[in-house]
Amino acid sequence: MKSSIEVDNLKKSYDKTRFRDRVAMLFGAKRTREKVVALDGVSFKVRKGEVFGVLGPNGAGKTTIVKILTTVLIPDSGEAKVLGYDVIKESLEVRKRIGVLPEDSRRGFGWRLTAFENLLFYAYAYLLPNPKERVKEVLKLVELEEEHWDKWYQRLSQGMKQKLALARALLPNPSVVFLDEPTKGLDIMFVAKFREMVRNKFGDEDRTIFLSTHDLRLVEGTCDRVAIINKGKIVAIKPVSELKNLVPNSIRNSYVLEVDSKSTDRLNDLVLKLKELDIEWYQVDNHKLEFLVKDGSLEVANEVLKMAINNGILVHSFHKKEIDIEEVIMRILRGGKNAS
Amino acid sequence: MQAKRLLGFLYIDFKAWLAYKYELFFWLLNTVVGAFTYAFLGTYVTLYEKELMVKYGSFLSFLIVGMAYNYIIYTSLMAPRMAINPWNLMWRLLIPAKLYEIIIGSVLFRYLIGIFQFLTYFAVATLFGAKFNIDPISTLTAIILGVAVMWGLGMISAGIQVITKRWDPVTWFFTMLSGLFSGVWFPYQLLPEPLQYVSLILPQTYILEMLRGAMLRAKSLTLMMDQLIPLVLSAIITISIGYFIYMKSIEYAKERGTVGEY
Repeated sequence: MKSSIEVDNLKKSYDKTRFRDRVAMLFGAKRTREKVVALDGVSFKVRKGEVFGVLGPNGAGKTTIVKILTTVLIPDSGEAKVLGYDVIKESLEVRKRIGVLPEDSRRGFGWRLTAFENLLFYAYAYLLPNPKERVKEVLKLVELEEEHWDKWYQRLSQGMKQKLALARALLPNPSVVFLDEPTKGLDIMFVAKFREMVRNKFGDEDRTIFLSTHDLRLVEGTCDRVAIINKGKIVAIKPVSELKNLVPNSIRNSYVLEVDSKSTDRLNDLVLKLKELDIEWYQVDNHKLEFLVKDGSLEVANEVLKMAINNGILVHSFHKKEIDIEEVIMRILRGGKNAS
Repeated sequence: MQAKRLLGFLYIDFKAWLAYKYELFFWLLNTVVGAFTYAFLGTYVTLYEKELMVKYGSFLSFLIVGMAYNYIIYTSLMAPRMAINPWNLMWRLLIPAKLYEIIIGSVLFRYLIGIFQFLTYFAVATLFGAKFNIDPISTLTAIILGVAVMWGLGMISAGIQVITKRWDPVTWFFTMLSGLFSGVWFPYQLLPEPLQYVSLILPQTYILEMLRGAMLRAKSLTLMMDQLIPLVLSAIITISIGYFIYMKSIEYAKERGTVGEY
């Protein structure tokens, strides 16, 4: 089997009709149903062993996808399969093979049970062989220090709770792990380690990781491919390394000249002289000039720099523009660009 | 102490109390029904003490069977609802288990605790001279049927709460009425005759009658057909309806995306 996850034309909308209106409708009254579209024909495939990210603003539909794939939400239409099993008709088979770190990861933990006891319950519920040993293994895997294992859940720090939730997701040694906002509450030191763990798929090369997050650095540092979702539609699915290609040339090959705040006025004079050179496009933003030269010629770019210095402008820096993933995402979302 | 400050506390609590209109209404109703329950208990039990002694051995023995109902059978009404509280529901549903395994697993401990509590009452009552005349088969049958009926009602109650997220009318209805009408604290025959008709439509009345017959008078099953048949029918009906409503409500919550909501 090549695909771990297959999603085909998934649609989901939430009925936001008020309770009293729904009751009135039951008795024949005419009311309009208020619906919010969460997913509008989403399709994608995730390969076995892939780290797949879903990025998008709040309310884009990320968590809805995770909930459907983890069998706790029923879609209106479309089909979703995890490891070949239908998430509705064969939900039990799906649940046997997945691990989930949900957005609100505190749910399902006993607050007056220790970290160890909480996991032990799940180890029994999953019918794991050697449950105590397995609990110890995953607690070590997520680097929850042994001194905290016997602490009540409610006395753990936010970061420790998140580690425990991660341990719960990994407990059944799942083939597919769903991580919904996994770095929320983790300390900076552990986030770096966590990225490494995701990259290594928690020690199993064949494991598929489905990541829903706002954390762009996490996506950039771990994902093989990323889907960008907005208003319930997938607007792009690309390998992370190719995401930058979605940004127009004019942005990718431009140069940036940053000047001292005292030279801001002279920057406007410089702009007037740019017409003498082979400049295709430019924009001034406060004390920063961004411009695109024809064919990306470094010579022409250097001419601009010389002109700036000759005009008495104090230059702070001059460099080719580096596009970061955040900017790429922002541009894709603003542009509503369709890509696959 | 500043009276004005205390007035402020009173004011917000009063406003919050008024804000839950349904609960307020049923709180008032519970208060009235509760008051009547204790009035009947205080008045008629004293008046008819001799008759009680003849029929049940003693008022203490009579009450202890009421406790068996409360701690073992009544638990079934509450258990399915407690098993699916929103804090745990989503995670319970993520476990690779069948729904009935999740429900039974979630409530098993409550039964053990209930049995322990009942046995404590039973032992202490025996020390105080309470007499029991038990038919084991009838007792076990009464408990199983009682649990089955209440389990069915509990599933209906849980199903409603998965949707409403708050109060459900089923638990309230059976909890409130059982104290006054079903004979937990005093025999329902002590009620004025028109009110006894209410008792006769409640399954708890039959459960308690059968339980008392089995535990206090060692009645065999053949002598308790008047309770046995209605209870078997009630169990079949309530469990069928309860399971249907429960499954449908989980499906409904999954469709609406409200599984983890309060």
